[in-house]
Amino acid sequence: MSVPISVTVNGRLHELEVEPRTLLAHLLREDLTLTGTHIGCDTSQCGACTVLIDGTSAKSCTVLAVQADGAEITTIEGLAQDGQLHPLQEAFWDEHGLQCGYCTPGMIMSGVDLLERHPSPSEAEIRRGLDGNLCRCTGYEHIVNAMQAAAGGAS
Amino acid sequence: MVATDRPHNVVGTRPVRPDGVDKVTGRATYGGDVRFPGMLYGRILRSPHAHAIIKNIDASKALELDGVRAIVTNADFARQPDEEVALGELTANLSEMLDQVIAGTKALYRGHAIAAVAATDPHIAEDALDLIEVEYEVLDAVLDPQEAMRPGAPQLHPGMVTQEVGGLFDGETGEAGTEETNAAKHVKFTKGDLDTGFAEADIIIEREFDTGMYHQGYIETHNGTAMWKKDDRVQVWSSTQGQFEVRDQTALLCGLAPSRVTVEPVEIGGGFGGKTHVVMEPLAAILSKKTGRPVKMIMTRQEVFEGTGPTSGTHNRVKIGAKRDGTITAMDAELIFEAGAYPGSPFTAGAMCAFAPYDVDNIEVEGWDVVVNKPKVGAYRAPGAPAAEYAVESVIDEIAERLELDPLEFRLQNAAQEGTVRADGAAFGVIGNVDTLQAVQQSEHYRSELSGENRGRGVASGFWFNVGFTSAAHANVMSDGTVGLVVGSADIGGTRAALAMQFAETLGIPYESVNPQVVNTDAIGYTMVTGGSRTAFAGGWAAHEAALDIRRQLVERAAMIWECDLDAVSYEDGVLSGPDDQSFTFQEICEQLPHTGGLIQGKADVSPETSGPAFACHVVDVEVDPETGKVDILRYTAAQDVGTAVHPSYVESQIQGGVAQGIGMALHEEYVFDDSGNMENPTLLDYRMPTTFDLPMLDVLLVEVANPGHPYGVRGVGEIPIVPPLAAVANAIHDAMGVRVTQLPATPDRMLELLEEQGG
Amino acid sequence: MIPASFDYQRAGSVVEAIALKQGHDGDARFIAGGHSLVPLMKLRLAEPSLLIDISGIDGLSGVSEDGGRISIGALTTHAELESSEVLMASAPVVAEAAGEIGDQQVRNRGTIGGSLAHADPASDLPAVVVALDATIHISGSGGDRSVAAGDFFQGLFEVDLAEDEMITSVSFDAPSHAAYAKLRHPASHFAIVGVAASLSVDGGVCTGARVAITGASTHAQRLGAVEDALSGSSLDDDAIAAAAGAASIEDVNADLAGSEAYRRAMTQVFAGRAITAAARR
Repeated sequence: MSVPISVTVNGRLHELEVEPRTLLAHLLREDLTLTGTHIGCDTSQCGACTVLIDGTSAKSCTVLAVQADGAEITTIEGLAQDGQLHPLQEAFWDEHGLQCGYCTPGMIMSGVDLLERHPSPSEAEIRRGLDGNLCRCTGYEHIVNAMQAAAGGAS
Repeated sequence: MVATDRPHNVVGTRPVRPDGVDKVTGRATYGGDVRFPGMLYGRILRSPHAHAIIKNIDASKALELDGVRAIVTNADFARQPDEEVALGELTANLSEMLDQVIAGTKALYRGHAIAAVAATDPHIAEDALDLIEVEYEVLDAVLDPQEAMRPGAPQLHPGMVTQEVGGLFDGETGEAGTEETNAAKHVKFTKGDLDTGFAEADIIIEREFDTGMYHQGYIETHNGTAMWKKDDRVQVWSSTQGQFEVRDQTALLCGLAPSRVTVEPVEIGGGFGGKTHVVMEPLAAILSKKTGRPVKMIMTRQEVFEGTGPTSGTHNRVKIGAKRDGTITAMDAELIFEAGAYPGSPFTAGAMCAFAPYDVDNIEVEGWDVVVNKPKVGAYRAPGAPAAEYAVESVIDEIAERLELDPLEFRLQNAAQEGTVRADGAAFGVIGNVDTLQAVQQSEHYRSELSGENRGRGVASGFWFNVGFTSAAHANVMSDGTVGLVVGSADIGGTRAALAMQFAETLGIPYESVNPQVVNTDAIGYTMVTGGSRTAFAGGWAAHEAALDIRRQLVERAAMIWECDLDAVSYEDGVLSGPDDQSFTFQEICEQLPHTGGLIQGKADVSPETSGPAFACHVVDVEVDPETGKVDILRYTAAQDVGTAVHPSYVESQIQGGVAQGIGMALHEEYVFDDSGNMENPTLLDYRMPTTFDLPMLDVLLVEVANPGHPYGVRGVGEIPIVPPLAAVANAIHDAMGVRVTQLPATPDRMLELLEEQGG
Repeated sequence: MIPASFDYQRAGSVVEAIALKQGHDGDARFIAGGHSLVPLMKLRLAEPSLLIDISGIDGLSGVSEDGGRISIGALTTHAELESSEVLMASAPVVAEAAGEIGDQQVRNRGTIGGSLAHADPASDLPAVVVALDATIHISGSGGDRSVAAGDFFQGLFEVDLAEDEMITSVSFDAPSHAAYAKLRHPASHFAIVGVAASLSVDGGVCTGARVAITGASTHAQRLGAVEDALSGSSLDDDAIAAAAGAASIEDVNADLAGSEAYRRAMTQVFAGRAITAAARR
């Protein structure tokens, strides 16, 4: 059984037929070849698969593609606008907020949600807001710095 | 040896990483991202038993499932010699390696690969696993290494006897035992005379410690894609720290010469030692051979936990004697390391590191490598050192306390220095052991007052060798004044930048003029794994030598253009100077190259036998909730001798990452097995890696004791930071609550038990 | 990790959702945020043959207050609870407990109705609604009915909800003194032990108490002995400690996050912390 869905991803409308058990993460990666959304744990701990669904962060490995019908999805590939990197993308690059880079797209997408809620977040608010994203390389310090830099630049 | 006396222009600065833009925009290509027309998806059937004879595998029903194209088992591979053979620069037992990749006659741990299936769709491949029928004869499993060493324990490998071995880089030098046992290997290092040393001691403390089996926890799970072509050439894409190791191992297990396999570079989502050997690549290759189509395999997180190589769980006994004045007179340790299903734990490294920070006359340390029905252990950041040094540093702390000495003063009094001979016979060159101890001693953190109930402060030292080995570098000079730097080192944490910086420094050009690329195994000379904290050291050295090769050729070219002797041309800071005040900037000579004989390339292969040993000293403040047993990290400072910090921000980040993992080992993480050998926490739902919530900011003190064995004084920095946190946290807990933690991780329930024992 | 195959239908109304479920011969499940169900399906611990997506049903979302009575639609997400001005003003315990669930991404998707209907033994909100003596409003093929939260949770993943019924909303009186205290599982962020306390206080004396626990046993339940001990007490430190010390439960969970003995100990610790926080409100 396939189900028709229409989903807007990074501003582009896609009309698709999907098997109901297809995970949103797989739809993005396999069908739409948006491989910037990573998969790391399968059980919604690591947050590498975080995307925005209608503006708020979600772990796309725990969302069925059919559940995204009618939704606006933003992935890491859709964050830069008019050739300009998003302030968080700039900040993660400039502040060395990454090593291997695998957690980075999810971390940045969670950061977007966080800055929506807390435009000038404290360290504690950053640590709470990124609690759903695991990084194994950095010990998080440069990630926290990047979040603060992005918030500072945005305000 | 030192490349230049002048202040550095590039080394020591903090430029952005060349791979950064791709990684923040999602364009970076990781192993799981590759895809090809007609590609099949592979999945692995794994043993539900920790120890079982595989009597029969019937894949017929699975093969009938629409979309299933092939299934492979161990029988699809050529037999391999059951002995150590040369493999790259090291040796390996290919028979064990094959059985580890896919079980032979026995499944030796839960999660052991039994069969692999390739199908047109990952859903179908997953469904097919349920249709493969395997007949097992289940055997008793043995999970504890001490039990496994006892006579009568279930024997994993019939006929296995204990092999006596030498130091880490010496191989099998000793005799083999005669009794069948699960104790695969044994090592013993002796310096001086233990009895004499303990006889001189006024205080002797002996304690036993246990550490859990920990996983490296890289966020990207393993993946491997293979394309077996009609001419028996194989292309492989794999998330690996060592593409040349993957090339050699895949080739030999598939019955090919290494030259027939090409491993392509992809980004790697973390490794920490866990991605230094083949896991699925040979399976993908044989599935591809059978089907004639490319086959991609990606592990689930559960497979990563159950089917890859975590670090050894350990049981370690340490005994140390000291005089009242604080002189350590004798140190004795016995380390028992779980190897998992096949020999090869880091017990030797643990034994060599255990007492390395101390200059003591009488030392004896022995180690055991014991097979048990758990996943075969792999390398994990300073393999063996965290567990061994946790035990030692805990006893050191206890002696300092009993002698009423400052723990740093006590360490300084006995600190290994240049010329100190270790128990394994090696003598230290220029090291920063004392310097890191002093850096902590003088730090604002250590001098600050720690107040508040249930709070405590702990310190611990650490040592790790770091290694050298072979690296290659090619550099293609472009006519616009830029250079393509071509290397074979997988870039896990910033080595493209670190190598490009050393290259730019030597050539006297801006970092931005260097375009570093990691290329496939046919496009660059043999380069060892990104591991052993070697890449910025040896890879940087190769880049430096390649830059010198370019300088030499540019001098020749300038001399030709200026029609002068070579001696009349000098090269300094990217400027060629010749007779009559003639000069070329690097950019100018590059523009001349195409018209004056052509563009040039530099190249170098280096294989330094030495490296720069690393020392670190950490201090941590903790607070223990006496009601819940939960331990919080309040403040952390890590001092480390980094030689020369090529990119200080990356060095800091390596240290912070290592500390975070060490804190995970100390407080949160471990494999939990039931009596049958099933891992009870095989997902990140239950295996607890530190999150942002669990950590404070981690302060770093970079101590730069230049390594005289490197052109830029570089030492490896990546591994040592994971060593001190275990003991530092345990010692801080003792300072806070008065209890000695002898089993890690110190989870809340264990802590509460300890506190109750103390209270009751 | 992929779920087993299933069929999928979207329901536009409660009536349609119930009809779809009634009409299905097999294991049909409602799905809203899916953050309880999808993980189980991926692990193949749940293999429903039909999912009925109720997330698009209008009118089941939001928090409202009318004369001191608060009503929360079943499809309200944890993130909406956490940031609800109504709740922060009138029942901060609910916003705070919701803010302790999972992480931001999970809170953005998970719903109160899903959390209560799924009744994971370690989820947070069941204890809160029991302590608040909330009413759970249910629609089914036989019409609408209400059940007291204290009666709703009956056992391990077992609730008073028939196959053809769904939760539509939850309502409760704004509490005067209520708080939630939780020992968080460091990886999953579920409650190893979580205690919600709601106290009635008159002139410094506790005139009534409802204290409920989650994480410790098969399902959220009241700590009767604690409530009894609190009643009439002065709510000073000693009184609270004594009341918390009376906490006792049956069928205590034992798992990797804590042994039975550890959970028993934590039950008393977190009862004390929840009551203390509630009393100081």
